[in-house]
Amino acid sequence: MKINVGVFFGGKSVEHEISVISAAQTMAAIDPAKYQIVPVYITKENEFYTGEALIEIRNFADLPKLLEKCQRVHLLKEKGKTYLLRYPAKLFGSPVLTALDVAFPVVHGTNVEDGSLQGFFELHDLPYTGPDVCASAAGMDKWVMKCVLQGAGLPVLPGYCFQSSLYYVRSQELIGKLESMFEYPMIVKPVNLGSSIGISKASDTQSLKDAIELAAAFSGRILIEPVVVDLKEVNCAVLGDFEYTQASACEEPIHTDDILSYRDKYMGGAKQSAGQGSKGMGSAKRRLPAEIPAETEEQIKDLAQKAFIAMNCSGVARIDFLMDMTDGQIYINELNTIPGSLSFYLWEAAGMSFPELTDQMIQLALKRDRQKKTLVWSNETNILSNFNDYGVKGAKGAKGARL
Amino acid sequence: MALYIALLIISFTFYIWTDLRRHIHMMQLNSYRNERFFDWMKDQKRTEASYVMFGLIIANLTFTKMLAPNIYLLMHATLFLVLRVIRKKQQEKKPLVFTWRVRRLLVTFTVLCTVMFLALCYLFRATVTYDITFLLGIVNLFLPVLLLIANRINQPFEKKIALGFTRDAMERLASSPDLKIVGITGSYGKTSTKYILHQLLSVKYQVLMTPESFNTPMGVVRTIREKLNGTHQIFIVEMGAKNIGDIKEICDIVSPDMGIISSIGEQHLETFKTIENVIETKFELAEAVAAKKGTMFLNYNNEAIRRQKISAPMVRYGVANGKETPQKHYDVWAENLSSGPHGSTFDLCQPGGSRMAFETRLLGPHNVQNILAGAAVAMALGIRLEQLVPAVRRLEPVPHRLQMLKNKGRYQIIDDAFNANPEGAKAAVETLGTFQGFRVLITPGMVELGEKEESLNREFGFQAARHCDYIILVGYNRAKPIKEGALKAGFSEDNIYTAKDIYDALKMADTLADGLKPEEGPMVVLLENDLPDNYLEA
Repeated sequence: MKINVGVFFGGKSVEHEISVISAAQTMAAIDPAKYQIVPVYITKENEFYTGEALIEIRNFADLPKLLEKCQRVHLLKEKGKTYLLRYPAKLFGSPVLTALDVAFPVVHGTNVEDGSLQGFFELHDLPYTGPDVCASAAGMDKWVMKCVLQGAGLPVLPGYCFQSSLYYVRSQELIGKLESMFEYPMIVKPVNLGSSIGISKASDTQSLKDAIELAAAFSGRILIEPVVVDLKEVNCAVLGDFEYTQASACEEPIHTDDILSYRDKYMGGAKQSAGQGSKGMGSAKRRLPAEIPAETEEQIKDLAQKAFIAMNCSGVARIDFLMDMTDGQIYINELNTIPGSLSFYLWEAAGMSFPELTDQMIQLALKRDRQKKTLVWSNETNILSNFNDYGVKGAKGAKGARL
Repeated sequence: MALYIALLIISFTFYIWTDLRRHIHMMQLNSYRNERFFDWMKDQKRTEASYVMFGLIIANLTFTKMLAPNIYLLMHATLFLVLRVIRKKQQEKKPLVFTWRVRRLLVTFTVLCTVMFLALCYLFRATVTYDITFLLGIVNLFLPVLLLIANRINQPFEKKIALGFTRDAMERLASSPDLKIVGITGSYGKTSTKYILHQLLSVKYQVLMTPESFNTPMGVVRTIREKLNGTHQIFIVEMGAKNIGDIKEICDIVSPDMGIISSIGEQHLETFKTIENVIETKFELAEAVAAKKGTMFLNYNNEAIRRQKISAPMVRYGVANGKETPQKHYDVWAENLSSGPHGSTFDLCQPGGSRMAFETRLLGPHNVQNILAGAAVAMALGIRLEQLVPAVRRLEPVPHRLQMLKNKGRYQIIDDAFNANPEGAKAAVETLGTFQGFRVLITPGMVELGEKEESLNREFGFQAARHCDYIILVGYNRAKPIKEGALKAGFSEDNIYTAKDIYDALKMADTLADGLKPEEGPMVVLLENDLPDNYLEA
């Protein structure tokens, strides 16, 4: 009997298209002998569709036509199992399309990677890969993440977070405060977006104002950090959960602009043949393995795993580091709880194949779900409902409705 | 006139519905076995139905011809309505479940009644108006018998449906060749062992187990069809039995790779008749496992199990009593066992000097045997002993099996409502004895022990006397031997109360709690064995 894996991708996020690419790569990697892949595409209007055609990324070139070939669905938990149901229901026969044993979200960005989709699965009692609700939410918010890592004693750059509406009301005061806190250049980031959207550098007061106004268009909260001028960026991925972690190879992303941009990440790549399109993060330019001394690499791998545990991540996360080349200080820049392309290229470099990576992620999801449940069924004797008067919590009480 | 007949039929159906429902419920509780239903049925007195019949005969013979037909029919319709309204509502512990089978049974019953009714009308050339009530009275009186016949009629069809489901379940099992199947059986301790094994194996594996009271062939089939999916790596099947061949029947469906026999003792003696039959049936599991070259895990503290020789490789587990050299008798054993109100501690030992300390919150020293079984299987499936220590620490009690209820009320409750065997009962009162304070036992006694029921209950009373301060018996007749046993042990009769039913018993417990003096200590109540509705004394 194969395990039914619902691969969920898309969503109302600015990284919608990236997620489609990551998902296509993931679905090609999941072992079809062991798992039955059920693709579930979430449109930008939060409608769910399934269908064989979703596996072939070429079909996404014409979205309306693709959706016509697909079946709109919704999730339902019934008698201990989670099902995908046809919507609208057929006149005769069962609306059930298939049962899902585990969900594999391959989503990036707000509204999906921030715990929304994870919470959705929790409410349907559907085990899912990747971080849980809390880790997802914390990982999506750069300020929360910074506070958590700082609290765990891990090295992060100082920063200042404020409501963008505050800028419009007290811009003079704010700029003054920022200039007194940090030296130029500064980097301005919307607190909860990914893929470098809305991020820009500021080298003086005017560019700072421009940068803030740009970020404010994307998010209600903005994070300002000092820029490490002479820097080297190193990324490392970690696979595991709260009790077991494993680090991948380290890479050095290469950028064409001042910062690693959306263009760099997804539209670069020397090896793109015509018609092949973007290979997601796989096609970004990089030095793999990173050109850093061995002990630095060990340090980074160690910090990556510590950050992973501090944020209570699960599955695969990619931790991005900044190295200040002037004094050798290493800072954690950010943590991606569901990294683009699941960082498969980092794992392949470390000797783990993509299929094996997906297999481990699914097993971790099942393990977490198993630990949530201890007893499977419970049955009550009615007489104990009498004890309601005396403080014992009746049939649905202490030992009653446990999962 | 047809209207009035219709009214009468409707009113009559309304009237017999509660009675019919109760009988179907009993049929369901007796697993649709006609012999068992008949055994229950013959003890029921159909007093109300007899009175009704008598009344109808009188009415029919006397003043019927004086009334107009419609009035006559209306009068009887009203009569049935009134009878229904004044009927006492019975409280049900485990309610009737309206399965498809119940619905099919109802249909057949209705058809049968209608056919019988029409046949009687034709035979006695009954006038539809006046004699119809008389015939309705017959249906009412013989309702149980009619249900029995309806059940018998449906049997071949039900068998066919069951066979189809079974075949489907076996196909699903076949489609998961890597699934490891562990069978658990025993006179007692199998459910506790099953829960413990599930929690221990979940340290490393996705485990499915048959739920509470699903330990019959159809229960197992249903578990497979409704719950088994591709993620499961281990399937734990609890196997219950009341007759020879019951275990084999389940083994033929699931083909277990490993098996645990938790105990052999006196349970279900009414159907098994002798202990030899019990032994033979339980060891049907060993035969099935041997056929697959698997391993049996046997409780070697149990004498009946020790005496059996089996062909399959075995792992013998048990609690060492300090007198023998454990390695000679066991492959996995416990030493330094200490039990009390907070659970137990023990060392798990293996040949070669391996020893690891374990701690559990589960009450009762016999649970240590169950933990040994679970640990032995877990180790055989590749889980390291160190990983089991925290898992055993975290073990939660199985609902209604020596389960401590966390309450903020006036007394602590140990819920052992699902236990019903002499060994378990003895262990339960011994556990109660380890508590400080005012210890109360509430029990209706043990059932399904055949001829030995009285003597075993008497012995239970004798044991209980030493470990508690007050005994509340539920039900006058069955619990009488318990009282005799307790008195024989020197227990004071003032400290025994016989309650009418469980609600009455609980009220008494409250009264005791009210009258308790602070120096008498905290009160703790042991609920030993709660019987399902089909055992209520009429």
